[in-house]
Amino acid sequence: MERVRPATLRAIAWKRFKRNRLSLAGLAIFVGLLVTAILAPYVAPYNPNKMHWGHEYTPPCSRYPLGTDELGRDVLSRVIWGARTSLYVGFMSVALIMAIGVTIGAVSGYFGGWIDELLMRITDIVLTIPTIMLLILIASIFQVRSLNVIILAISAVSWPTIARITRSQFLLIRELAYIDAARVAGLSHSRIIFRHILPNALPPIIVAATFDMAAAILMEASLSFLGLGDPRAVSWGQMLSVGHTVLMHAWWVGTFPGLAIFVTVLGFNLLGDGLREALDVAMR
Amino acid sequence: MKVYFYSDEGIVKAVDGVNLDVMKGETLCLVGESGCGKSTLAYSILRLVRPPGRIVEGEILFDGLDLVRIPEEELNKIRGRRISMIFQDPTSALNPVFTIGYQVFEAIELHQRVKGEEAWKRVVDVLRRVGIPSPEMRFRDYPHQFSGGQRQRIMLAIALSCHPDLLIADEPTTNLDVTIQAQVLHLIRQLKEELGMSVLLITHDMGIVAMMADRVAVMYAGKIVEVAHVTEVFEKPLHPYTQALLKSIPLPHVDVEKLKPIPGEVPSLVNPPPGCRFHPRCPHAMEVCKRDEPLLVEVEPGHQVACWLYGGKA
Repeated sequence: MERVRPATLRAIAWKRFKRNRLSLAGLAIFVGLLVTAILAPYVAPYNPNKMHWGHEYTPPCSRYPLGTDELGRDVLSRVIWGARTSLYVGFMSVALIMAIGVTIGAVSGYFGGWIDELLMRITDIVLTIPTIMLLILIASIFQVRSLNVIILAISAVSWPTIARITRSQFLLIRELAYIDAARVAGLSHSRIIFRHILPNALPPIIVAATFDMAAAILMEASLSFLGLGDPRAVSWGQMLSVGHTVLMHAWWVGTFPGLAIFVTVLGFNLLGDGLREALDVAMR
Repeated sequence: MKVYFYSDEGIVKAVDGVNLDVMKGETLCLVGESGCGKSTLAYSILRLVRPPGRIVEGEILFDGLDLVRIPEEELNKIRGRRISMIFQDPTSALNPVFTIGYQVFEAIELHQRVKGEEAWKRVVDVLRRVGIPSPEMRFRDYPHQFSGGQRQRIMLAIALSCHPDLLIADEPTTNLDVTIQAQVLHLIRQLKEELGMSVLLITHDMGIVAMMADRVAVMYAGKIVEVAHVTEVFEKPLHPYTQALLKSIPLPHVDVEKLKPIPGEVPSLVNPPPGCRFHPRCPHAMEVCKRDEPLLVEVEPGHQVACWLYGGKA
């Protein structure tokens, strides 16, 4: 017997997503970036840190497609390796932001009462401090500024948005009859929070996480630009920092990493917009 | 039992001094107008009342255990295993992200010591039992792929999968078509007989009461005003509210013109009238009714009423 299977939520969302060209462009940028980052050792023409003596500030040519920087390092190779750094920081930050934000938001929204009050006041406090100030503060406290310290700093300032979104979702969903039904069935609080509410709360959290990804990449670039990044990492922000001082006579040093940051952040924002639209409709 | 909601407008006394027993194996119907506190009462049994609502005082005795005071973990062993509940709106009572099979499975796995293959076999069994056609295929479907009546059957499957001693049904058929209503009610009655459980059925529909109940408790403004065997209630209702309620149901042999709506409004539960809460709408109201509150007293064996007409003591 053949049965017609109504479209699943995922199928509806994908259909919606596909229809929007900008979303697809965002997805393409994301996938391209991911592939570049993973295959960096194979696609980069040179070691990004190799200094080609006597070739400092070479303009784009057949040997160095995007030119070289002040130490004679190949800009193209550095832009490619920089994708690795950016995505690593982005992914790790978002993972940490989600872990903190979702937990705090879930506990806050589910239990309510004084726990909610306490957690939300802490969230408010973090939200009121200017991000870049807190970021610089945390980054300067640590003697060794590894990428992981940067990730920690970014997560520490970024979790409140996710916490708030999660909380509002939980407030909404916990009132629904199926949560009463789950409680009636005798399920524990943690099971209800993670198995029954969280999957239903996820769509707006995923959308926010996509935007956080763009924000995290931008924050890492800003810190590196200010000289507070990981000095050993190949970072677009740090390249830009050198590049902007020599823009007049060696425009390629700063332009290409700048472009990379621009395209990456744009890509994640397009992806986020597309997801929001697609998931919004699918949830109805 | 008292359950109050602490709102901005004041304390809403949703359940205000109720004393009720459900006997083993019986179906007790709790009837009353919307907003009289009957759902709140049902929700308090399994401690589902959320802030700003709070169980202010009272106890819920189940098999010698006071469900109001036992710790949450203890209560979780009773929820779903010994007392189950089904809700008014089967559409929102199933989690949209899980297959219905999984939702039945979860209850079985949690409360019965069966895992994997064996548990899934039971899922199919219990779905067949509540009348889901070809359950061995449909258990992989999601809630939105079922009709309202089927969803309520699935809710019943979840509720009954662990053979509870008591089923609380909060207006289980209010959102269903009349024909489906009868089917679901019939199913509840049949399963009740098979499993030998007690049922607390909450409804505002006297037709359902006539079909389902062994005993009836009539609730008005947070209080129980009359408790009696079902035939007594229909043939010899004592409380003026019960009488008025019965006169307001449309029946095929009675002219619509003769229907008597109950005059007045449901009183505010923040500021209930003093004395008997029904006195502003009662055709037999006396001086004493405005002043003192009548208690629920047994006027005949098994027939309790809270009304001054029958000498209710304060």
